[in-house]
Amino acid sequence: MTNEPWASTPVLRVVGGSSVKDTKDPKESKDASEAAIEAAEAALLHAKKVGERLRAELGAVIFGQDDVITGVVVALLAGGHVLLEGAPGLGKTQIVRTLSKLVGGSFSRIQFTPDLMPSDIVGTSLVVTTASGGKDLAYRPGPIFANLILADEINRATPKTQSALLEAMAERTVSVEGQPRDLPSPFFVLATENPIEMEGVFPLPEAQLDRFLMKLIVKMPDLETLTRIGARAEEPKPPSAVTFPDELLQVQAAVRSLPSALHVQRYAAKLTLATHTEKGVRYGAGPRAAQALMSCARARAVLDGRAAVAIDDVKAVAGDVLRHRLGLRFEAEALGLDADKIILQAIAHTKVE
Amino acid sequence: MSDGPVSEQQAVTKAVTSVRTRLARVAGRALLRRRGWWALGAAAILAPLRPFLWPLRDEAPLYLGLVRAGILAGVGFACVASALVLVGRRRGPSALGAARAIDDALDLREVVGSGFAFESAGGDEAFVVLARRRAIAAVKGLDVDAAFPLPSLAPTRKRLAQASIGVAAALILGAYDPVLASALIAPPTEDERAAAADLDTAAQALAAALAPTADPKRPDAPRGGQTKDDERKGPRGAPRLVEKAREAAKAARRGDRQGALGKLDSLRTDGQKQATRAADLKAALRQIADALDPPKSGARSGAARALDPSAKAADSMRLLAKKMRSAEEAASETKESQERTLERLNRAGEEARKAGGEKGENGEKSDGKSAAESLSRAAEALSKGDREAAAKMLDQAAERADSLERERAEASAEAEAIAEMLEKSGILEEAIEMAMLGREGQGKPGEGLAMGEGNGGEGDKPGKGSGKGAGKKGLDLRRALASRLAAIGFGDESGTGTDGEGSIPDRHRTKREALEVKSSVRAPSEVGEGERAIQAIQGLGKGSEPQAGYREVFPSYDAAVEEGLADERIPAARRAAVRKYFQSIRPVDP
Repeated sequence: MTNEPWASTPVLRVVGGSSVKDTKDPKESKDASEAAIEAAEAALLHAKKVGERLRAELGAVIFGQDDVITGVVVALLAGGHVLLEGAPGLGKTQIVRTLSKLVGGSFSRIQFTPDLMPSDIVGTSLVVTTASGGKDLAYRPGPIFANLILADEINRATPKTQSALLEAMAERTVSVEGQPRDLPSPFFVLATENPIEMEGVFPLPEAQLDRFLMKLIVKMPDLETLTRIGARAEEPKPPSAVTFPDELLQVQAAVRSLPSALHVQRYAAKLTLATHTEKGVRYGAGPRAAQALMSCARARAVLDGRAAVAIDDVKAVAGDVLRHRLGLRFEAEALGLDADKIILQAIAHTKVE
Repeated sequence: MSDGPVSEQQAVTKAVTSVRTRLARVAGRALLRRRGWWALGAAAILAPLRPFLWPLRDEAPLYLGLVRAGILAGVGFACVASALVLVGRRRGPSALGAARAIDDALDLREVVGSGFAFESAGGDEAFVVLARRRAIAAVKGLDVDAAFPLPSLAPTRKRLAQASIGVAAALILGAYDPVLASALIAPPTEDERAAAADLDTAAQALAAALAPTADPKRPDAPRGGQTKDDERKGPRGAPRLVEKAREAAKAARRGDRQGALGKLDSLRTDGQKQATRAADLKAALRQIADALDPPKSGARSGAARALDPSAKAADSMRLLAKKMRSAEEAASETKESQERTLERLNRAGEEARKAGGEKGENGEKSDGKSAAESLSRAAEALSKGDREAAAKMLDQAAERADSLERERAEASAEAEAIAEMLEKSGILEEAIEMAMLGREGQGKPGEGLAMGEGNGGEGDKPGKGSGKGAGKKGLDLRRALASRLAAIGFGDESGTGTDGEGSIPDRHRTKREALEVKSSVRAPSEVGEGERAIQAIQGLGKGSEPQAGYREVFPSYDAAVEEGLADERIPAARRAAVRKYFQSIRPVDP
């Protein structure tokens, strides 16, 4: 991978967001600029290819969930975490497992249950016998120390355990016995939850839901898709990795470097504010939502091969980014409104400058 | 970081500006297309308002209503359409909106929009420059006209038909004119046309009579036959009468009956004022003459003096002046005779002052007032014993009296022509009334009874007006009106009258009972235009010889006639007949 053009020095500088002006000679400066632009274009193209490969491979395994697959890839490129919500058997776990194969790196699956303790996630110190025959405490990392985490049925764990995971998601570090420990990078959590079973579950608090970049709804596939699924005689072969953690980090850096025009940024901000004024909304999205909107819009623009974020990108990701950040009143339920409908109304009411 | 040649640096901005201009035009046309019915509505509202916004003048041809309605409709349409286009243009997109419109037209996602934003904001990061280059590549070779075609303004057939019907209806409403409608429903009758032609002829005659009014022998006679005095007094009313008569005739020929009646009313009012001018002057001169030379019992008194009063006034002044200069008269003059002369001068001055009014038409002193001043100064000089100065003042007063006489003569000459014209105007008025009554009275019996009978006549002009009319239907009205005319003095002089009976329709629909005249009575009645007083004098029509005192009493009749003629209640059209009658019974000098 190191021989890829985007991985050369100028590219790394460009994706870092700095301009190339460090040479005195104009000709040399111009050449450097042109090189930086070419590198930026190459990085953009490469990121697009990585994203397309991920989508294609996921799509080959998971039928009829293109929007969810795109959302997962967008969140992965944007460097955020995803909450997958759907009925059992719709392929949520399969998506994550397939993605772990595609991305490479380490993968952990944590099955959340009511008796799951925080130490079961972040790890704990055990008494071990030293070489000299003495006793000592040795830290054993938990399953959180992986590049890709599947937090299955996260709403079955107690809030105490949930908060341990969510803290790790936000800080990308865990503190064990007062000592902070960095999580591996990239760090990507995909949590699933079952909206049907309400017995013995602990719904995630709104403040913790905000930690997820996106909440994707896994819907029941249509007839054609179900036919294809049924026709598949055997489990698909596990795909081979199409990328690796370092490359993914560089792609994420390229995504973060993608510029956005002021009117696009203002649109995202206005849309965020608009969620507060819609009918039936108890509380709207916060500043983190505006950040998430722009992050996901950037990733989507990169997936489309564009050098700038478009308002359409913001609109396209608004549903997935905002739906878990809105609190609705009973009035909304009486009116037959849900978060998705309110977001559509907010999009309709938000004008472009 | 440079992203290309200087010409390319603002390429996106230039393209966006061009597209923005184009889109403003598109927006203007789009709004006009969407709200075009507003413009049509304005046209449809303005056109019917034509009679109020832009009424036709009396002399305007009737088709002008349609033209004006069309103009108003066009103006309304153009104003609203222009406003729509302007508003639409103002509602055109912003520069960023235009850039995003380019994206939409080229099926791009914010490539040009972001590129334009980055170009405006600056920045030299690699991705920013990359975005700008992509925007430049996108707008290169952009055909603005093809990418943003102007919306067509051609309406559909259905819309066109609806608009045509609406505008046509509006134009018809706007072209409507009561005169046009009445002229179409009831065109001018032959009688009206003939009467209008007669009125025109009479007006021409009056105009011709006005031209040589000024005496060319007078030293101050200027061009155009108008004297300096005339110029000083300003334009007289007779030319206005001519103009009004012509307008009334024109209105009658157009079928504008209401307008014609209005003008005839105005003409009659003005004509009466003009016609009384001669009488006023005549009376004034007579009063002055009477004051200077009081009538004595015997010859040249009363009616004889009334025949030539002004000459007497001027002559009396000159004779008195001559006496002032005469040494014999001065020597023989007693104190009593001087006081008498002073008293006469003062009284004459007083009469002249009354006759002269306050001021002339242009604020100048009138001749009467000047004469009064001269007489007053003469009296003052005489009281001081300065007979020469008194004589000089009397000469000046005589000159003013001459001037008043000339004025009276001119007014008299005009009065004849005015009377003639007013008579014609009366005929036209009757013709119009007949046309209107005929239209109203078709199929309806007439109402109202004859008002009475004029039973006059004296001496060698026996006769009395008589009429008998029964308002029946339509055409019988003419006969009924003839009865009415006869009853008020326009009857056939040679006819033998009988008591009027029957009924006539009139404009006021007032029912009146027939009056049998068996003795002298005064019967107030209405003839349609106001109160009338008709006096029937028992016995005067039986051919008896005039009483002995008739010659003495007639001057008072003369004055009564003049006063009566000055009364506005007597229609101007009838005044000629009244004057003619009293001229006919004027006593002749033996």
